Amino acid sequence: MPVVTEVRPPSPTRSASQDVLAALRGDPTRRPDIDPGLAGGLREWLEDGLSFLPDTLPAPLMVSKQKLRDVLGGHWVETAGAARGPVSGSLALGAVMDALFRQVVTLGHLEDPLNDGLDALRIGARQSDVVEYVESLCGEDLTRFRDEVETQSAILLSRWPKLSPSWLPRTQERIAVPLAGGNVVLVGVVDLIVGAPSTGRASVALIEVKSGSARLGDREDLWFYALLETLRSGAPPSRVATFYTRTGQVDAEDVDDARLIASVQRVLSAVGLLLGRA
Amino acid sequence: MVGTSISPTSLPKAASLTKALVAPPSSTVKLAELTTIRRVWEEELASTFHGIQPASRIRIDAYRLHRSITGHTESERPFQWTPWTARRRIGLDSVRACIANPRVSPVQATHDTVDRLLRRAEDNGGREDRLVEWLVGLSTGSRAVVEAESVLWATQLLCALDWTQISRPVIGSDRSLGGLGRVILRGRVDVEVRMGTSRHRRPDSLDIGLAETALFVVMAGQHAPSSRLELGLPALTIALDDRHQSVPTTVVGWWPASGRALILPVDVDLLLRTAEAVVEAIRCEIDRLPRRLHRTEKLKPTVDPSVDQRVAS
Repeated sequence: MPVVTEVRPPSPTRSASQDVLAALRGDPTRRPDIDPGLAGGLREWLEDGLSFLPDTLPAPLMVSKQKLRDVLGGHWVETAGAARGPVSGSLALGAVMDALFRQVVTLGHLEDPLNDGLDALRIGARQSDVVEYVESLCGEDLTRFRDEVETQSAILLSRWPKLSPSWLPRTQERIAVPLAGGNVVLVGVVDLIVGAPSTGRASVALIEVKSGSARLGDREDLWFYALLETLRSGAPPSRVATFYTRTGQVDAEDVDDARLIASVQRVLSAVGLLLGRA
Repeated sequence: MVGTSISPTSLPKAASLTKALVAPPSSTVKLAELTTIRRVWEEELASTFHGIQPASRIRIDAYRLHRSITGHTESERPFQWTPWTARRRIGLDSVRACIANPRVSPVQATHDTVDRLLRRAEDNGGREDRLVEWLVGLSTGSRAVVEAESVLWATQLLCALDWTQISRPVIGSDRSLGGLGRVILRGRVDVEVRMGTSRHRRPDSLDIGLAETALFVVMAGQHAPSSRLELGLPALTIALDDRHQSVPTTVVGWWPASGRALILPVDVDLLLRTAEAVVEAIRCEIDRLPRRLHRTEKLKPTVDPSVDQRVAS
């Protein structure tokens, strides 16, 4: 569902990429000191909420942002083995743009966007279905897909700022937080994390990339990732953001306790629904 | 064999991990104990290979030890370079460069490393190692994934420790050890720290010094019951090797995905249990060998239970 977000309009006095950079950075003076009890408290809340689980489940319950969205949206369908359904055009576009974003952050340039993106997906066996889908396109379908990739790539290159190396940018970082003795594992792969680990003040920002339109659930995805990072590192991120390659706009916000608590409640509700307790 | 975890909420985490890594050991395995463990290990190997002559040496590394401990019986896929198998080797080079010059970032150091490997391929006219051959054949899109994975790995290691508190770390200190000409043990060590020297008396009454070392290992996936023995492997590989005159005192395993760390003091119990697991892994590998190999006798089904007693005595 499209929503109105707090995307900043381009400033007439700054370049588009500077606007994005400013949105990612936020107001450094507002970065809070870390509450040393926060991460432990959130973890205890989750553990208490999962205490109804038996000692061992047949297999660990993996909880991702997509599963949260599907379960709480009432359209979760258990599929044996498959991590996701059949590949669609929008899913393929998202996978290609994720790969191109990673290339821009790492190398700073693209050569041939569609080929670069497909080569990046080919080298990882897990995306072979996406590659097959794109390779099966022909005629106008292929032209439309290529045009969309090239359009979004041009937006990406013009709007995405060159990050200072001191921000320590790292892409597609996997986070896996086991709970309830490993029966439940909260998992996520964050498109981009910047900032050195906290030494007392919130210092890390998480950025997600979306190739589609802004949706209500995008912010909830970010809060879930903020919760994962808090549980993993002991410190919440200072900022979370979604960068939309379709428009070049960014939706960014500071992280506060209320967002993290809301995410804890979503996780517990979803696990309850998945295990028939709600 | 005991171990402790670091609370994920103790901040800054790098300071806690570093403190655990370089903390003075509560005790050190004695030279006499090391000698006994080596003797027991050689006896176990001799027994395991009695009547068997494999065509090539059996390699036991963390991957094969994990497969054996967890009972994974599906056939092993042949090794191939991927961004995930290449990232550590490139990442270690990047970490060395960043520590040597703190103004260099992981992104720059990784890019320089890949560039250097590619230039070496040009200079050597194709006579290169497999990683370089593989890198040369990659397109820009694929190479971007390799660099991105390597940057991620290097950044995780750089951020894991407080390098200002570590004196002369050895980055990437993997050890290999042969046994009876039929086995190679491969211990993966991402950071090795020399802690000091402990004095030991040899059987001929001469005193010698053994360098005490602490080991740091970046672990993939999630912490599991098998992790202790997997972390014991690099310690065992060093302990069994009498060429370097060193003795491991602590192994710290760190899982960047979960932020969890496990600190294992190296004691006789850890070394013996790991040795038993390694012997079992060797048996698993022997069972996988083609039947045409020179196999004249059935293997013993279990590890000799008297191993502990022999060392204790």
